Amino acid sequence: MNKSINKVDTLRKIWEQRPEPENTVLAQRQKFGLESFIKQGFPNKKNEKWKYTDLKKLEKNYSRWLARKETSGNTDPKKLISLKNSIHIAIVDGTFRPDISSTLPKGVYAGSINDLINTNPDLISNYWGNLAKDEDNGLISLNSAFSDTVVLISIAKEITLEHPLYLNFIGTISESVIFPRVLIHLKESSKAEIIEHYTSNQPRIVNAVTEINCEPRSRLIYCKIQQEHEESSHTSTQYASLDKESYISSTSIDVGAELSRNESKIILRGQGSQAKCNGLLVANTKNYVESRIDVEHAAPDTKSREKYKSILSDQAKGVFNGGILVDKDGKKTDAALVNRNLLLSEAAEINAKPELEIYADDVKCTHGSTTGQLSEDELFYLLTRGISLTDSHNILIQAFAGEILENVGIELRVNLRQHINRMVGISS
Amino acid sequence: MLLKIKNLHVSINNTEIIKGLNLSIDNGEVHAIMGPNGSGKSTLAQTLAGNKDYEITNGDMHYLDNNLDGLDPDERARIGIFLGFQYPIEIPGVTNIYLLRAALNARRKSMDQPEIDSAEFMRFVKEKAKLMEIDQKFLSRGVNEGFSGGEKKRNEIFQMAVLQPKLAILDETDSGLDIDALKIVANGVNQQRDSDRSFLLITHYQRLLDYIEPDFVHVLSDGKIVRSGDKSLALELEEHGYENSEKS
Repeated sequence: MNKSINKVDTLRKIWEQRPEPENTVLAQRQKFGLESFIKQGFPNKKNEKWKYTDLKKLEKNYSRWLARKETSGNTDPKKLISLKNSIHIAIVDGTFRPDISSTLPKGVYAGSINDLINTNPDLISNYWGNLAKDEDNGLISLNSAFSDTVVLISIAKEITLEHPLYLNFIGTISESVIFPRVLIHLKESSKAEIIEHYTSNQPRIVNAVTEINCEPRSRLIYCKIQQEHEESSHTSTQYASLDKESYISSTSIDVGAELSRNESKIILRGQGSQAKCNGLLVANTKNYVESRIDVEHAAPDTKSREKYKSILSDQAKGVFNGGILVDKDGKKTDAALVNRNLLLSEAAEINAKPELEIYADDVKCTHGSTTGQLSEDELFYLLTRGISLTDSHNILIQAFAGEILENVGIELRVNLRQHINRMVGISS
Repeated sequence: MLLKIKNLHVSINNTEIIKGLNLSIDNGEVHAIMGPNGSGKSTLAQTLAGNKDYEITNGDMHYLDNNLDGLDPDERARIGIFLGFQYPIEIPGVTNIYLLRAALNARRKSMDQPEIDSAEFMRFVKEKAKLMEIDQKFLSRGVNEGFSGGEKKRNEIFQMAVLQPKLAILDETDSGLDIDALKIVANGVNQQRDSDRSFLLITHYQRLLDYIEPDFVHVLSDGKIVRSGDKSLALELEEHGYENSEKS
C-alpha cells in the first residue's frame, strides 16, 4: 500500500517538473487529470475489473522511465512499415513526424497537444473526456495528466474518406513512455476507416485512450493492433458512442508486449445502431494479455456481434471478459457473443467470462465460450488427406486466427500472420 | 494383392468390435461390405485409415509392401489410401482449395516431386469439381462449412477425384442422400473406376449398389465376414434381410 502511494507521489513530482502548458485550458485539464490520478492511484486487484492484472512492474517502470530524458531512438523509422493506398500518420516515440507522413486530409490533425490546442481551441471542451472519464480509472486520468500526442479526426457531414487513415505509433527509444489520445468524430452520414498500429523494437510503456463518436448514419471501420516489443507494457481504452443507425466495425488485435490490457466499451445509444466487434489475443512465453469488451444496448433495434479468440502458448496467461448489457430501452436488441480460446501448452492459462445483463423485453441475446486444444477430429481429417501432423497443427492454428485476421487489410494481415507464426513456433 | 487383412481383431475402449476379419482386395476391384448397425463396418474403415482410438489386438493388415499397423494416418494417405468419411466434419477457416493443394503437395513432397504448378492445379481441380457438380465458389469456402449432408458427401468424392488414391474406402457415402445426390456420387465413383484403383464400399443398404456395380459383396456380422459372393448376394440381402444371411 505504502509503496503504491510512493509511486503515485513520484509521478506527481515528475509531473510538477515538466513545463506547464501555456494554454490555460489545457493546463487546467492536465491538472484535473493529475488530481484524479492522485485520488484513485493505480487500479488495484480489489476492483473486479482489475483482479487479474498485475500492475506492480508497470507501476515501478512508470516512475523510472518517465524520469528519463532520452530523446532519440536507434532506428530509422523510414524503414518501418507503411501501407499502400493509405494516409500515413507517423508518430515516432510520441512525436508526430510530418516529414514521413502523408498530407493530412481536411479535418484530420496530428501533433503534440500543445500545438493542437492552438489550431483547435475546442479540443478539450468538445472532444476530450466526453466518453473516457478520468474518474473511470487511474490509468485514464494518468493519460489526461501527461497527455502528449493527439490525433484528432473529425470527418464532416456526408464525407467519405477515400483511403484508410493509418496511425502508425512507432517506438524506437528504450524505456520510453507515451500517452496517446485519439479523438474520432464522424459527423452525420460520413464514412471512414481508421487503423491504430502500435509497434516498438524497444521496451516502452504505452497508455493509450481512444474516444469515438459516431453521429447518425455514419460508418466507421476501426482496427487497433498492438504489436509491441516483448518487454513492453501496453494498456489501452477505447470508448465508442453510436448514434441513430450508425455502424462500427471494431477489430482489436493484441499480439505483443509483456503486459497487454485492452478495454473496449461501445454504447449503442441511437435506435438501429450496430456494432461488429472482433478480437484476437496471442501470447507466448510468460506474457500476459487481457481484453475486455462491453457493448451496451441503450436504444431499440440495436444489434451487436462480438467474436473474440485467443491463442496461448508456453506459460502465457490470458483474460477475456465480454459483456452485453441491454438497458430497459434496448427493446428488440439482437446481440451475440462468441469466445474461443486455444491453449497450445499445458501451462498456458485463460480466464474467460462472457456476461449478459438484460433489462428489456423482446430481445435476442446469445453467448458462448469454449476453451481447449486443437480438435482431434479436425486433425485426423487432415491427416487422412496425407498432410503431416506438424502441418495439420499449423493449418488449424492459422485457420483459428485467420477468422479474426480477415477483418484486417491484406498488408497488415500478412504481416500479422507471419508474426503470429513466429510466436507459436510455426516456421513459414 | 493390394490389401490383405488377416485375422484382424480391433477394440475400442477395451470392447472388441472386429473379431477375426479376413479380406483381400486386388487392383481394380470393387468390394462392398454390408451389414447391420454395430457389425463393425465403420470400425474397419477407421482402422484402415489409422485412427488411433481403435486398437488392433491381433492380426495384420498388409497394403502393397507395407504393414499398415506401423504407419500413421498421413503416411497411409500418402501411399494411396483414402477414407471417405461417414460424417465429414466442418473445418472453418481452412478452405477446400487450400486443403486439396496441401494434400496434393504433401504427397508430391513424399515422392520428392516439386510442388504442383498453380495454373495446372486450378485447371485440374475445376475439371473434377465440374464432374461432381460442385459450384466453384465452394472451393474458396471452409471445408464442408455450411454444406448440407449431401454436399458433404459429394465433397468427399470430389476430394477423392482430386487425390486419386489407389484404395478408396467409402464409409456409408450413400446414407442420407436423396436419389439425385446418390446418382452424382455413384457417377463420380464409376468415372474413377480403373484397373489401378480399388474401392471398398461400406454400406447399410443395397440401393448404392444399383448404381455402382461391385465385383464382390461381403456380409459383416458381429465383427466377422460371414458370407462373400458377387452382386447377387446384395439383392438376396435386400429381400431376406441380414437376419437370415448366416444360415441361408
